[in-house]
Amino acid sequence: MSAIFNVPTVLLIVTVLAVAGYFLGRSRAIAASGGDRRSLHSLPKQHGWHVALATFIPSVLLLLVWVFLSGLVSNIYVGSLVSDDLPDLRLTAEQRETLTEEEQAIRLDSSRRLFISGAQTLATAIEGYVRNGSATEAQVEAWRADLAPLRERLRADGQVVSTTVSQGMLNVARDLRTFRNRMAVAGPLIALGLAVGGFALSLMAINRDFRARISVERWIRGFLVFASTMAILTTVAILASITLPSLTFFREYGFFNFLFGLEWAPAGDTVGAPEGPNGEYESALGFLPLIWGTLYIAFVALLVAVPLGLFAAIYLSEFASPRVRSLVKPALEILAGVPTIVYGIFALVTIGPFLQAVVGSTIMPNTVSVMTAGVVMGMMLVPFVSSLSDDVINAVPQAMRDGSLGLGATPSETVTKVILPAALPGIVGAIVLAASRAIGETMIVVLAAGALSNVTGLEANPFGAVVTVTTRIVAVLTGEGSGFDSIDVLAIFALAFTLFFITLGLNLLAQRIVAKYREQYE
Amino acid sequence: MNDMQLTERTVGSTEIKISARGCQVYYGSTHAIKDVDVDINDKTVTAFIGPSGCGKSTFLRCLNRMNDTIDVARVEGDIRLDGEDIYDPKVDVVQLRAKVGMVFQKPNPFPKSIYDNVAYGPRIHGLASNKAELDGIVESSLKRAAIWNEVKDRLDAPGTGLSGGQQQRLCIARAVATSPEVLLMDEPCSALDPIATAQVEELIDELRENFSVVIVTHSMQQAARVSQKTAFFHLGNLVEFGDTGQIFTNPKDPRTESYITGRIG
Amino acid sequence: MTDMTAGGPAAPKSSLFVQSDNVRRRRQRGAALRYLGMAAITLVLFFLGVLLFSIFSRGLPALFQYQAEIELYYDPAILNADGGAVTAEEVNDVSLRSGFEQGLFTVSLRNTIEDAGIDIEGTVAGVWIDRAVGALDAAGLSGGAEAIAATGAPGDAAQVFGQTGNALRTARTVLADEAATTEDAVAAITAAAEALDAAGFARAADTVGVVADIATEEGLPEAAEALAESNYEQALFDAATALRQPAQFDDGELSAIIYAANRRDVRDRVAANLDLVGETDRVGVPIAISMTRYLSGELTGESQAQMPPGFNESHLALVDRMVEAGIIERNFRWSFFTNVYSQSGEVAGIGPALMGSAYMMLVVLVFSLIFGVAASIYLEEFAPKNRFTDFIEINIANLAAVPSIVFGILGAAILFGLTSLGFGNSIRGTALLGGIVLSLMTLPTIVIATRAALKAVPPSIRDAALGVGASKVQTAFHHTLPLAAPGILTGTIIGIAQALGETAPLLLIGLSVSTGADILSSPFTGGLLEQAQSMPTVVYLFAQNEDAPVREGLAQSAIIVMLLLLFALNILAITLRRRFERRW
Repeated sequence: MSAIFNVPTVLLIVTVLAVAGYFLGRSRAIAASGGDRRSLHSLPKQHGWHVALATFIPSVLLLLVWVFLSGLVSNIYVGSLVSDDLPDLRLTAEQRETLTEEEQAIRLDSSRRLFISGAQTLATAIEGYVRNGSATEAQVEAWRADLAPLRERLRADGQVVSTTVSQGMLNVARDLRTFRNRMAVAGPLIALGLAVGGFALSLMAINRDFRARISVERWIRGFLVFASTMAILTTVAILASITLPSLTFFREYGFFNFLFGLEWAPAGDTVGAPEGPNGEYESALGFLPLIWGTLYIAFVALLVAVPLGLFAAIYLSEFASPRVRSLVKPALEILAGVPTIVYGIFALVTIGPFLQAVVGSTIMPNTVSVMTAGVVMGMMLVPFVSSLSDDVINAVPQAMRDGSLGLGATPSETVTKVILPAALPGIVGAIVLAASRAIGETMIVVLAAGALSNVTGLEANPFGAVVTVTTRIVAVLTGEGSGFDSIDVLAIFALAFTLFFITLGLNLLAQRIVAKYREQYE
Repeated sequence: MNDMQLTERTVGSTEIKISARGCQVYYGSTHAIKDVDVDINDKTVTAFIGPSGCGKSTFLRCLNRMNDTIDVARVEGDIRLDGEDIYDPKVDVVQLRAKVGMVFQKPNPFPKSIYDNVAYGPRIHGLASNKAELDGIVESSLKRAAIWNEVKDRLDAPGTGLSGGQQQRLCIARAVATSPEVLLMDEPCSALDPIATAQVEELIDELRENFSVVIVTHSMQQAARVSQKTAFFHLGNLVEFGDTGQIFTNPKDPRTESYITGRIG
Repeated sequence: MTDMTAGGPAAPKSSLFVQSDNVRRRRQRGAALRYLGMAAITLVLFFLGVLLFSIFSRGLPALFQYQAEIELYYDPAILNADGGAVTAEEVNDVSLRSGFEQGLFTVSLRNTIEDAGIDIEGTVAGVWIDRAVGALDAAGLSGGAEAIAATGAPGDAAQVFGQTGNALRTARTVLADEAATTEDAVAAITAAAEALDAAGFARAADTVGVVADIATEEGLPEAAEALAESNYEQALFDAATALRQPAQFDDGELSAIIYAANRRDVRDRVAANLDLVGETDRVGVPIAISMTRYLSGELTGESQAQMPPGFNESHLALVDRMVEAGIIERNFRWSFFTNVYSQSGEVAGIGPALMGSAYMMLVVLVFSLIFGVAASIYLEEFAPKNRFTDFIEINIANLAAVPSIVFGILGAAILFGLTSLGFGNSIRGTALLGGIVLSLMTLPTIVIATRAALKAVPPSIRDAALGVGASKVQTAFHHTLPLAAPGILTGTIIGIAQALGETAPLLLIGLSVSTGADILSSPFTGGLLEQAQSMPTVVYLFAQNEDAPVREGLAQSAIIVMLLLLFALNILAITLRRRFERRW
């Protein structure tokens, strides 16, 4: 029985039902029209669609929600199964005497978590074991943790069991498994009911005057509105995912300690860091060295990109012959389309060693440095700056050029005295956008700026290695094994938080400037 | 046609300022101007009239080589300013345009202050050696453009903030400020309301004192009001050229007559 | 009439044919701007050229692999050390490294080389003898080759040269010793000269003999100086060191030349088919990646920096001979496109990465096309002008400019969230998660392109449809959308091309770890939910590799593949645009 009520099968049944509904609805509508199709409010096809959608959408939506919620619900359920006086969780007498109350609570909490995750994997393992046909339900019911080498038996079957199995854990796991199986059947069952109900009701609703088209179009509009809120949902999801951990971090570490700290030394990366009162390493998580590195590189990048991009744009839009333009523009587009990791590797294997050879290894001890990353990032930004500047320069009306040329100005005078001043806000907007890109750029700096894990103070040497906000985010989140609760990881979310708001601010600023600029000529 | 009062004005000078012979203009493969011969007198207002697309603006733009800015445009023939071929390779177009100023159809003040708009030409051409001199040029130009009284208190305000008529007079002041010898005007009143138009027309009449003015207009009434000489263009040909009074009262060519009586247009 | 142009200062009448000083100056100043523009463009194009050259000059050679074709002899002595009947289990117990790579493969390699008529010892010895002779010649000890030949074996020569060097050293020590008498010095020098003579360097012996005269006539310090002037001692020691090398070229050195990537396959094959024991098979084995770089000309082997790490001249000479004999051949490296990423450059490939990228593009295509087009239709055709709509538009504009790494953070947070919801780490590093994150990132791009395409459809079309009684939904789906389709498609392809190169978000959701399987299952049977890689993340893995040849060679090869894919996508977009674009 339960074999039928799993998600894929039900999905298939619902789909078949919906397709059948389309044809049934259509023929029913034709029948209802009594031969005169014009007497129907909506086309038979639309009746068919109505039935299909009424069958499909509610049940599939339910299934989706169910899939996501069932994990959550079973988590809550397993939490309620585990009471604090389970023998597995009880602290030893010695621990109760020597540890403070707070420490006892921490120990209890962590062993509880460990126990729950053990029970969860065990439940999964038992389910897999039974699925493989290695045991019957009755046998599982009879299992006792102390009698059989349960863990070995499950492992031999190819199941994953991480912890040693106690009787308490086995009990919880068995309950959890039963609960999960019930949940796994209940959801599809309800979904199937919804589908059948929708199918029947919508078929019965068909008559000459039923406004199937309106109803179908309402479904479609609903979907369109939902799709357009995706952008909002994404923004909200991003905000939620960075804000909540960041707030926890700010509360634990101190907002100002973070913002104005001059040292970045996460405990996870530091050997021999100072030991704190609770026997843990204290992380020093100051933001300043990171934002310094980020801004330093961005500054160098803009120093390269802005003049090059601007002069290129001016030349292309005001002086170049159509032939030159048709050759250079695609080249710039190629440069713009190259993924940033390619630039990063280029910086690493070509530009870095070249710079080192030029300035010497006393000034530049490593091939990775501010200049390496900055120069390459600047080159990456040239097409960005030039195409945005090109747009704003072309938006300056031809009448301005004519006016200036008609007075006997040379083309260069027209550019410097009329067009650039007129386009200035737009160009400033483009530069701000480029700055935002430079600050958020990741792969170039990860490969070419340096990968130190601890930094103190602000590196002033442009040929020295620095650490940036994005580098740290990548380093910590690609490392395996960091728990979500570790303060180092929380700090990463705080970094993402500041990064998001800095770039958001710059983007809004740029949009505002450009919008003002456009108004001027519209 | 009742407002077509022909003010009998004497032609200020008979000295020929610009003479064109066998002028042809091509836009890509389109033959826009066909073999035009015309003489423009000094200190005279010459009007080019004709239906839309007849080539009158195109021909006007040949006179200070503004067509150079259009990639596909090609000019043939002989156009002389004071006897010098303006299409000669030795000619620097910048110097030509300093002598032959232009006012455009749509007012196009730069997004700068009123003062800077007028001072732009004198500055680039180096006409003033100090600030006081520049102030003088700006003031006299604005006065000649009959806008001084309206803007003298706000010379630092942006030129784009003025009304349409004021903007156009500002553009005229800007053109006058470089002391050109010829002033080309491409439908200078088409974007203006009647009152502003009247002001500009009055101004054109005054400018005749010092400049040779060539004005393109689609309004026959305007041509009749402001010009001493009129040229009628049709389909890229110069159909008739003569004294304004003669063209409007006694046209020689039937096409001119059809046009001024409103049958083609 | 000149004075009539009142207003400004009266300009003197000037001819158009004469360029005034003022104008000339202005023209010159203006040219600077033009030159700056040209310089900027030249610089950027130069940079692009260097970038492409850097990629292709390194990446293309790495796409070719040098393989040694060896006659692999399934030696019973190794596979079945105890004699008797061979069993599959015995074969499986033979160590891959010592038994197969250093045993079977190396012995067979040696035999193959020798069968081809190459004298391994001779070649190796020749290299070192050349070096020894070179060292001797440089110090003026001519006739080194004859001297070595006279002793018979290089090892003997090494001994002789060592002794001679020692005699010279003794002489030097005695000369430097203040307590030494002239007689001691003369005796030591004479002994050294005799040793040189015995070794076959008669002229050098005479030179040293003169030192003895100096010692008696001028004093010991002068003699020491004269002896130091000849550089015989160091040259002799260098020659001796070089001559001792050939003896050290054993199986270990030989096996370093090849990388027996297929040793496991070979073992499995033998275990499955025991008849092979005692037989011979022709097998291709990749050459070690450092040697590949030498062969492809990236390293010349002329100085220490140009020498493949871990190898010396004798390896290079042997490999050169093998190439001459046709044992080593250069082949296109097809396995690069199917193999899984590995730390070893000889076998590393981008198979799962290509598939993972393809799967992700599929997810992005489906997801962002459906949602992007739906959102655009709503915003362009239905949305009322109100604050909610404005808010959506602001959101889309901002999402388009949010750094990609923030989307990675979102993905990581989703992972954390799912883990705490009880889903475990099941979707970490899968193509599905990667695809969803990339879709969210691409959505704004596609919405912007789609809206532009919808806007380009003239309102008259909509009016016409509405005018004959179509509903707004019908108008949008029957008329506007089909007409805008080419523009939408072009925008989508460009968005996908962008997503294809995105790296940072994928790193954060675990696509940069090695996959277990060579290939992923089909997307319809769960391939989307397997641990995957993507092109940019595998490039990142290559870039992080410990071996310089992998970092600098294969990373660029993977980049070439990625760039070609991007190029193909863009060409597709341009073609579509050219073909179907309609101007209203």
